[in-house]
Amino acid sequence: MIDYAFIALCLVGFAIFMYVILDGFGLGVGILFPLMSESEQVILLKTIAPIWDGNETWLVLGGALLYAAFPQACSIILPAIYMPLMLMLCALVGRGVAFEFRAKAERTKARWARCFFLSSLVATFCQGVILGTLVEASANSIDLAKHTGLLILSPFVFICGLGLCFGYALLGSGWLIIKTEGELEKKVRRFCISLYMSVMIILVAIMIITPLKLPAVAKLWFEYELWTKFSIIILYFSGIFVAFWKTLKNSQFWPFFGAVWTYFGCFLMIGYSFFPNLLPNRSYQSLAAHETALTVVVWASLTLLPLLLSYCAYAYWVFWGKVDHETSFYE
Amino acid sequence: MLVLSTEILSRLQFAFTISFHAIFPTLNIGLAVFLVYWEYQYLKTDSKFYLKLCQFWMKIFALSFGMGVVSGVVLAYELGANFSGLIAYAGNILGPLMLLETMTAFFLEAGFLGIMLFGWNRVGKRAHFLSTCMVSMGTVISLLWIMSANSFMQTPVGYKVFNNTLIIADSWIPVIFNPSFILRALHMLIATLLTTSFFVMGVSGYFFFKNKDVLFAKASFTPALYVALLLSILQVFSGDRVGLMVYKYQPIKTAAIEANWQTKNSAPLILFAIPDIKNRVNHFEISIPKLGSWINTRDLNGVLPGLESVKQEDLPPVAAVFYSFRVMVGIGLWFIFLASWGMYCKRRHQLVRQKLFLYAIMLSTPLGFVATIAGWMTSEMGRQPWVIYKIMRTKDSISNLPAEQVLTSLTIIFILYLFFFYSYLRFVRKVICEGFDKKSKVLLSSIGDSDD
Repeated sequence: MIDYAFIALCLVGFAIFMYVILDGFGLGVGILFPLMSESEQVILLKTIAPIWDGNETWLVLGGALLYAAFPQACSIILPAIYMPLMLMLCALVGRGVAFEFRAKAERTKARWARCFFLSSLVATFCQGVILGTLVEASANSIDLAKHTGLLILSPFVFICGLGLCFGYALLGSGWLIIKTEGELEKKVRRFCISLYMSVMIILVAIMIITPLKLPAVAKLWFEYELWTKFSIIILYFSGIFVAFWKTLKNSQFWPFFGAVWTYFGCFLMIGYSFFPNLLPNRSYQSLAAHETALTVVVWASLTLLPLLLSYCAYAYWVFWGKVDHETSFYE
Repeated sequence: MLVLSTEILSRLQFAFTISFHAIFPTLNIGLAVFLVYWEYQYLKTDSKFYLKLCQFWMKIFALSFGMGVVSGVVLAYELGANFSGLIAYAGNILGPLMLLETMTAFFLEAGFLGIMLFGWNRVGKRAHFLSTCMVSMGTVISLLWIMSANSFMQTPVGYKVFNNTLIIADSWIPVIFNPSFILRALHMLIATLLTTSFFVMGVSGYFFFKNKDVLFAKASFTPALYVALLLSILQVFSGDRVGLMVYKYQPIKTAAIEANWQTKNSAPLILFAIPDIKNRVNHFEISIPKLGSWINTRDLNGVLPGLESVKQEDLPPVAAVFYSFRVMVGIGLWFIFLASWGMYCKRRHQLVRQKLFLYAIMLSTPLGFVATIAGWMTSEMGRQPWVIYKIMRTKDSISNLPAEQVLTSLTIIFILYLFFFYSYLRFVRKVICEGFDKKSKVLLSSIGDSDD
């Protein structure tokens, strides 16, 4: 007997993780935008121009998977996070539009650059707020179905929003180290180093606040198999430290993959803390779609995902390498 | 008196965002097909001329595609956020259809779009052509899935009710290939190609008018003209089949389209009227006897269903359905005339000199979009008050949100979208003003149509 619901849950997780990494560095590049001169901004845009459409598609995939595999969860979560969700979507529209127009504008370059930065920042912050709201609601067993349209404002939610801004900026700077060279690369590396430090501070803060605030999570974290957990945490942080050290030593790929590792750890931590609940006090099984839908979801994903991953990878491979002023994609 | 309830606001927001979104895929699906043709010419002739032609249209394609992607993401999430009842009730069927669309179409488009737009120097000509084909294929596949999902909501079959709380697929093949899917998908595909060909002709007409880049404009105009003439005629037949299908499966929609209040034999075709929904009559009616029955039943004495059996609160917005249908058909007929006129001018080698025709073709550039959206309005408002025909009422699909929140999001979206659309038009104008060939403008601009 195959547990279709569990596979579907993993697929949703995978799609969201891919979105966070891929569009995350795109949004991060947007957040770093005001720190760059106008000629540097052009290079920044060139590094993400051929791939940002594809990256955003992962958000649609995450949504579609959630609709198809967990329609009940969807119908509760989405109205509950209505305002931050709509704001995020508006910001994503603004960002896409600003991106296209910034590349083609002449007189209004500065305006579209500001628009690109602001919309990237708002979209990221809203994503953090959504995450924070869901974690907060799950931890406090708030019934989301009755809290439709209510934005739970708390310091924790705010920290999540802020944390994600730093986190995406870290991903963005890691990406830019891979894609740029010369003075710009040195500059981005300096940002990357300080971002590593801020992200680690925020991470430690969240890991201290969460168990203090949420007894259920504290119980889960500190009750049994303490040594196994402790060694995993040590492994996790030493991974980040190695990436940080390699960043100082001018490594090309470690900064980016260190950031990916950081996200991967956070993902597992959230998953571990709340599994098998998808919503407050509602397990993923109780929210899963009927088998007629789940089988389509699972088999379609398992056959099509390798295919679409391969041509996404092909698109990245085609545009592999450093980008500079001479690299012209047009004509 | 219009009360700004959550239902009204949610529907208004969805109608606005989807109409805005619809513009871009309509243009892109057609434009992608034309791009495949032009790039094939480039591959065959290996001439810089076709390369520049492709690159010009790709600039417009790129602008529109970006707009399409981001406005589409909004729709996907709006569906769950504002219409959570629909997802809870029919998510088991609509969800997998949307998932399949994402996996088979969106990734194909988005993955190869980068190579198509920016990869000219990075991949070989054949690989580039293949990428363009993939993008084009992706747009068409996307159209097929979304038409399937929407057609299921119009003519649902192959489902069964589970636990009295939701519907699940009994068998996927009838769900996907539901009775209205193929006809409506075909109708929409022709509509996108038709809209794009008039868009291409309108833009090319501007170059003829300005006597600038005339050779490029001609190479764009000619295939668009052939497509327009062929498809504008074909669309009459496809629309007719859709009409017969609607008569069979959604007779109330037919009655609303014809503004027919009483069921009757030998019903006239009403050309113009002001439907009065309160008193259930038409004012100022102009009609052709018996034609309404013939169009819908192929029999001059056939029975045309009326709205009499429908309770007042269950009536679709008759006037809106009636008018939007006539806007669509009117534009369709105008397109046949315009395409024939264009062909006549072309045969007599007078394209560049026929100022009146050039004016007409330029002014008709946006009409295809108007017709497409009007057609969608007919189709979507005609099935009200149902969101899934005869299964789920629209009012039951609405999320339990405070009206202020929806009003806030609607206001933000409305202002942002208008601003972005204005900017979009300005940038499209800029691309058009720069022309096909920035560098050797002098060389080509002075050539008239003497070689035609």
